[in-house]
Amino acid sequence: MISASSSNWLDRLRSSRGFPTGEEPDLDRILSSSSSGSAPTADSVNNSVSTQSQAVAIPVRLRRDKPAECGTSSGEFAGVLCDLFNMGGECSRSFSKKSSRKQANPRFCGASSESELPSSSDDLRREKSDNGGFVSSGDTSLNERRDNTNTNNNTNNNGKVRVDDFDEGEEDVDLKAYSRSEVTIIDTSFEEWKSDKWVFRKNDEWKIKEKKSKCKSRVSAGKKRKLLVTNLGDNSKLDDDQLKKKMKMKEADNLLQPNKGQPQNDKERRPTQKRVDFPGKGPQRRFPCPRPPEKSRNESSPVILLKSIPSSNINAAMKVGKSFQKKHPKQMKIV
Amino acid sequence: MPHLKKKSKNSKKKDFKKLKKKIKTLNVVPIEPRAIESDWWDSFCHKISSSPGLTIPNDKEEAFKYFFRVSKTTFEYICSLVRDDLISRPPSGLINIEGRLLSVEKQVAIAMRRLASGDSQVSVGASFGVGQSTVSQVTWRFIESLEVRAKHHIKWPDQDKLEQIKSKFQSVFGLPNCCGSVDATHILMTLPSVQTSDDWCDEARNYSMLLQGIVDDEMRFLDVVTGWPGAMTVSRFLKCSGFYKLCENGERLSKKLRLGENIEIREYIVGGVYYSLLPWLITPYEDQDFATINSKFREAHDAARLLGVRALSHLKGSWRILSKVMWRPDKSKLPSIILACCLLHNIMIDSGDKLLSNVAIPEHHDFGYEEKSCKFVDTLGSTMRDNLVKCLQPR
Repeated sequence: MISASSSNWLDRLRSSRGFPTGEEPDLDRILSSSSSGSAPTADSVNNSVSTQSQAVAIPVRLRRDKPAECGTSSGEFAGVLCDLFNMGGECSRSFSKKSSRKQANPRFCGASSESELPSSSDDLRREKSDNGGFVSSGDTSLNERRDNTNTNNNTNNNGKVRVDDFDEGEEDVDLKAYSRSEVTIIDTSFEEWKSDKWVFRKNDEWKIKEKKSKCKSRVSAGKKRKLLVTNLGDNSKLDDDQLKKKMKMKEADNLLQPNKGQPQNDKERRPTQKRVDFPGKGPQRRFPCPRPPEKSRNESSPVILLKSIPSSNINAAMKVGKSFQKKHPKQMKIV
Repeated sequence: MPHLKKKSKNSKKKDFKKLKKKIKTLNVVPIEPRAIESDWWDSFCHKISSSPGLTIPNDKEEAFKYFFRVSKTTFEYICSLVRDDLISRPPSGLINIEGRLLSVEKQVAIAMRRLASGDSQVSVGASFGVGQSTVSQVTWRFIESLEVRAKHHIKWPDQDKLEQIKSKFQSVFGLPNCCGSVDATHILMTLPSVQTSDDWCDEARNYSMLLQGIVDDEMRFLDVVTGWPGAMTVSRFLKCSGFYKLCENGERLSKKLRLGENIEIREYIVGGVYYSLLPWLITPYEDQDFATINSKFREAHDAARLLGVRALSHLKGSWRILSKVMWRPDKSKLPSIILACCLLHNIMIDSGDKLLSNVAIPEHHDFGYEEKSCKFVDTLGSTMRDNLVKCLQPR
């Protein structure tokens, strides 16, 4: 019973696939018929190859040195061979796998730009050095390349960034394929000489994006100190900038004379009445300031800062003062 | 017993402090009076004279120039510019190894020596008796200060000054309405070999930052751009500059000079073959046959263009920090260092200091880089160049 049913089942399967039924099927004939492409499996291979070859033409081009012949005549067997030995042939299995791995974002390899796009960054560099006209080639092909980018971008609105293109002003570009560098530019033609920018690069294509967030941080340690002084100090002092400078010049002259610099320094750093202007500010709040602007003449030393701290906490406060002094040099920028 | 002793000591201290509070003594910081070091030059000379390989001139003034590139008068001027920012104040003022406060002059000398020699911070520090970190701090403070205080030494000239420059170019090189010469150079550095460094890798496979300068007839920088990655071509670099935008918008180099009936020449600068030919940027003819026919134009153009080349050679030679390969510099700080050197270069010219010919680097400032021609030719630029040739042709 069992054998009879199984043979029936096998016959049914064979007949459904178009193979001859019977106890002794002609295996040679079966193989030859499948390799000639008459079998449905071979058709599916052909179909898949034709569709795949359109979608991922570039990866084949990238491996242009390798033989492109992996004939469909050998059917599935050839597919397995391609897969195993990476022959670069048109086989459905290898393509479906490799295309997803090698070409994650095939939008940037538009068919129209195939002839211009170098196969890799190394190849590009080789081209640059070979033709000796990297500048010109970059300039001439840039527009075409950008057009491709634009057309690609039009199909996908996600992830676009507004950047400055050198040739045509600002535009929206998808910058996924670009490398990104942060640059600090000094340009004396602009009113503000210094600016931070993002530079995006894809081969010889460059895009610029202004970086606005860091504007406020561009203050040196010295300037920070001064800003702190002006912010904490009263406004009348702000207006007397010239007076301040004169004071500093006087101080500088005295500093050049040995043994006379010290008292003058203290004199200079004596914004005495300011404490009255900020009665609510306790000494603790002043510690973060590298050079407390509200100190009186007698407050120029860390010891004086302890004046308003209860005597029981003097030791602790002195430790704080010392650690502050130790920390202070860290605020200096290092070349 | 020791415990008691401690207590008594503490109480004494407290009493002392209370007393101080009452009488309001001046301060307690300077336990020893600190002198400002003003004899830095003598001690520097003494220390540096022992270092090998230096041929120090006998004349004091010449020796000063040898080390700091500028005359003593110019040095004093530079000190006066940055004094407010560099002045050392106790208790946080910078001090040298002997515990003495650094004078402004010594700080300026340290910074300028570091920029001029390009020697390591350690060796510069050793010649001044300060540590490496002091050299680092002082140099950066100096650069930051100079960036702000000496800004007026780099500016595009007003029309009157521009007319003077143009007349100089006319009289010296025979080029009418020429306003300057442009050139660019690579400032080399080392970077970690990570992918993000690729943008800085230039055509000669060096990591570099670009510097572009437009100079007048005295090799004074009129316009400076820096900070762009070395992987950019020189022509693209120009396109990134504010100068390019201003010129393209007609806000700079827009004045025209009429020569004869049909010849009109716009204000322009001259540049090498690696720049695009534009109405305001005249490059030489690449066609050798044509160049020989117009030999007068070629000679005049070459001579004027060399100003830009020589200026950058002088810059890199005077401030050797720019010609040496910087070890992994902070790319956000390097532009400031470059700018400071350009400012010092201009200060020298403005102060009447001669640019010493033996200081300039002997080879081309961009040694190892090919002059790859930029094929881009603007039709208006081409017409301008042809008009210039007509002007220069002997009649």
